[in-house]
Amino acid sequence: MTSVDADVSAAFREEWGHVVATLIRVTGDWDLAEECAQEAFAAAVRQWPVEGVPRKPGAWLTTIARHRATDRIRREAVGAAKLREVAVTMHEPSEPLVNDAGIEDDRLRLIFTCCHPALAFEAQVALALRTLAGLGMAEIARAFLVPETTMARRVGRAKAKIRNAGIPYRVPPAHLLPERTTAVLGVLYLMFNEGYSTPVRRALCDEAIRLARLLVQLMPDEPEAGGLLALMLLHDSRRDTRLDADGDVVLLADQDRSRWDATQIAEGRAVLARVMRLARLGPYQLQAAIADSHAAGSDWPLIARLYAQLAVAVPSPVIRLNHAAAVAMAEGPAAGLALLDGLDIPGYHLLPATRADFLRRLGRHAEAAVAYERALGLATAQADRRFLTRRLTETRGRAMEPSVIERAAQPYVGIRRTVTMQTIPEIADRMPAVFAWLTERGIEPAGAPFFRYLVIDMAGELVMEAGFPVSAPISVEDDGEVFADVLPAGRYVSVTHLGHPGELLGVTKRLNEWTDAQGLRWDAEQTPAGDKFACRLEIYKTDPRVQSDMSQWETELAFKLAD
Amino acid sequence: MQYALLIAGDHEPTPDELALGCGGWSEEMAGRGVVRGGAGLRPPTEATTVRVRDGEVLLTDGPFADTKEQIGGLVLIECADLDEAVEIASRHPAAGYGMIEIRPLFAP
Repeated sequence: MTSVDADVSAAFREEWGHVVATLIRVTGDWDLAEECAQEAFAAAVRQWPVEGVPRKPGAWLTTIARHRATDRIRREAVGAAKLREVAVTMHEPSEPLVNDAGIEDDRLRLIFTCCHPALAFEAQVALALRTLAGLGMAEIARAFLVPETTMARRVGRAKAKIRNAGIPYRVPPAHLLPERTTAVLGVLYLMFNEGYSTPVRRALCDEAIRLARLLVQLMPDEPEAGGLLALMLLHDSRRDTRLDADGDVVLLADQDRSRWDATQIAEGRAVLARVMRLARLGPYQLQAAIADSHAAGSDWPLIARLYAQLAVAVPSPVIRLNHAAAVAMAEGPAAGLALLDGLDIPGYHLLPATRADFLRRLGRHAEAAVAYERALGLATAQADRRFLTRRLTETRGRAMEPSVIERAAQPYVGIRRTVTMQTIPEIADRMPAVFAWLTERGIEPAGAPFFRYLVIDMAGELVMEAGFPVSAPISVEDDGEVFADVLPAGRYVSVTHLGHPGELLGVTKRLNEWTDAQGLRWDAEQTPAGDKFACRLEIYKTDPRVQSDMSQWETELAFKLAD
Repeated sequence: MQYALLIAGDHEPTPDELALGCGGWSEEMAGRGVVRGGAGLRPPTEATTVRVRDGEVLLTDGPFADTKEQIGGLVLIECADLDEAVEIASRHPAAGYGMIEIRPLFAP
């Protein structure tokens, strides 16, 4: 890119909204304003390389755009248009007017109009992104996950309504200001988030911050305007460290704090401190206070309390998720995991990813791997997918390493059969009968079903049981095939297999080798009928109704060790 | 800007609501000089809907829209912009129990 190209790009970022906003004020025509702004930038691309970059690019662009508007209106030269010509000429070459509050900015006027409550919320944001930030229709459509033609229609309808329904182009009068402000803050926050997500669009972040500053000056007693400005500044201060060279997200704890923007942090803190003294807390101030604590080294108990307050102010499952994450940092992953119970955010990969992280930190690697896999199924951003894939591989590996665990005594009900390697299905097929037996008696299984191998003679017969754990011992009075018993407590070697159960023979072989190498011995004895095991379990943790693909199944082998 | 205020509700006004009438609204707005016309409508049960198809005049007993909300009156106003129209409409007593649709008129 040549330096002039860079100047034009910079001018586009800096001045687009200003040129459009001024043109709307002087022509009253939103489409004409955008077209003339576009022509002005096209002129800059042609003329600046030849004539040099003007000293005040914004003023140059506005003047060109204004001349184009005058030309076009003159050409129309009919009744109403004549009046507009007068209006345009009358204002020229006026600079933005200063209102009673001492501050006026065409962009502020523009954003209040874009955010007029007579427009639907999505139309408000789309209009603001188009006219203020200069986003293309394709980008806006992508941000809303709708086809471009749908978005173009929506924006077109909104402009028509502004024109035909007489939505005024102004900063609202004082008595309307507070209610209109909430809408404007929402738009600015979305605009900032759009810029802050990957790929990063700095201009959007800068524009949102710039407009928030103006709002704060205009409404110094509106604490949420200051809260939002502080929130955006504190987030933006970490812009250089939150992604690594590959564009992957760097966790807060791993960021280089020395590279955070100290000026922005100081400004954000000062703004937040001032508005918090107004003692009217709101969601933006709470979020800013959270970001502020992060900037100061993350006081997790404080952050957890702030999230708890925020969850009351804004009942959103995403905030409950963040609350759980903060509690996990303050009190440990078990406390966080408990808060995730009953939380459902369809299609949101951060929910299973957070659950996976808690499980991983609790050493429950197999469950973590299942949750990472679910998160991977929902994540779309490449950076997120790389992170989740890395964690999935890691936890899978950890899950599939054998470990020695303590198991408590476990009551169960089951059916026993003597089979051969070829007739194992005879016992496998009885599993539903055990389940049906429980269902008939209104008893919930207390965990995943299992096979228990009592006697194994690979060449001859095996004595096997199919069972379901239950929460308390049951006495079975009838003399049917179902019996009740208790799996013995003690030390077990446990290993999880993630894959097709047909691969369990190989897993068992490796488990035997590992146990030998550790100098451990199974609680087993050799008998003429075969090897007799005190407790040898194959636990089927995947519900086949949920996952029919057996290559995705999770199976745990748990063999009791000799005392 | 000129607007029609279409005053609608999901029930016939109750005696209390009827007693409110326009609650001084008409007088106030006339005083401000924003009212250009309007009328209260008798109930939709007394409406007749007319269509002409293939030269034939077809009549239906009742209003054209078979919805819960029915228009009970309309006022034509002239004011600066939509914000002022919203302010005018929101002060009409019927906004408190029914609803008011603001429709811009085609420019004359």
